[in-house]
Amino acid sequence: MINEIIFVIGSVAILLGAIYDLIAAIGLLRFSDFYMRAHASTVGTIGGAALPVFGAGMVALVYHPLGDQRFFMAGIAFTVGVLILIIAPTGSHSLVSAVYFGKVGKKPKLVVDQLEEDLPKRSDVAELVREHEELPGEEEEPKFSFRRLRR
Amino acid sequence: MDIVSVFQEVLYLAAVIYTLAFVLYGIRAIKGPTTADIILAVDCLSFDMAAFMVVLGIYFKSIMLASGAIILSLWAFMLDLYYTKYVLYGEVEV
Repeated sequence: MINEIIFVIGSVAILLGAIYDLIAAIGLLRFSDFYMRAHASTVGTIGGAALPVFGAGMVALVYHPLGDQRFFMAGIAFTVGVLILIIAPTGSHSLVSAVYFGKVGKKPKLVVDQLEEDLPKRSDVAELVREHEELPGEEEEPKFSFRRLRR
Repeated sequence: MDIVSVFQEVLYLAAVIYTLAFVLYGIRAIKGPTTADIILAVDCLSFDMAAFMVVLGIYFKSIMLASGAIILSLWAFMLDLYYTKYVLYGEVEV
């Protein structure tokens, strides 16, 4: 009895994940600018990848043709699920921050951009750097070059 | 209720929807206006391929097919981080 319940929950999770995936793909294709596409892609990674992996792990626990290997399979499935839950938000966050701060592509029309208001103005930063500038020649070459940011 | 036949029906239905989603992701990955769009689409594509590989591994009764999913998801993460480092710092260091 408990096997059938676990199997039905896992199958519903796999089908629901496939439908989430299709919705995310349509959104990724149809949305207009990059930030809205990033919103669609987070639906696709959490709802469309992490959910069916957990469902597949639950199915693998009770799928008897696998024999003793089904515990290995369930372990791999749960590992991949936890990995995607950690990795996918981190990756999309870093990608969106790279696009915002690196000014990749054209900026969409925004009603309000509060992050830009909070950031220090470029002229203020240049003035601060000029005040605290050291004598040339004494400083070592920095390890990271911020030439893209400084431009 | 036979578990094997029901799982085959579920797999057929899911495979059709997944294939349709893969095609739509592929269109965005080919025609994306900027590089970030391409990386976003490839990112989604590899996470979903990892999920689909686990499901296929249950169907074909092979652990080797499912263990490739770990590598695939880590590879998508590496793609994100390297693109971020390249855009913000101008160089890719290990």
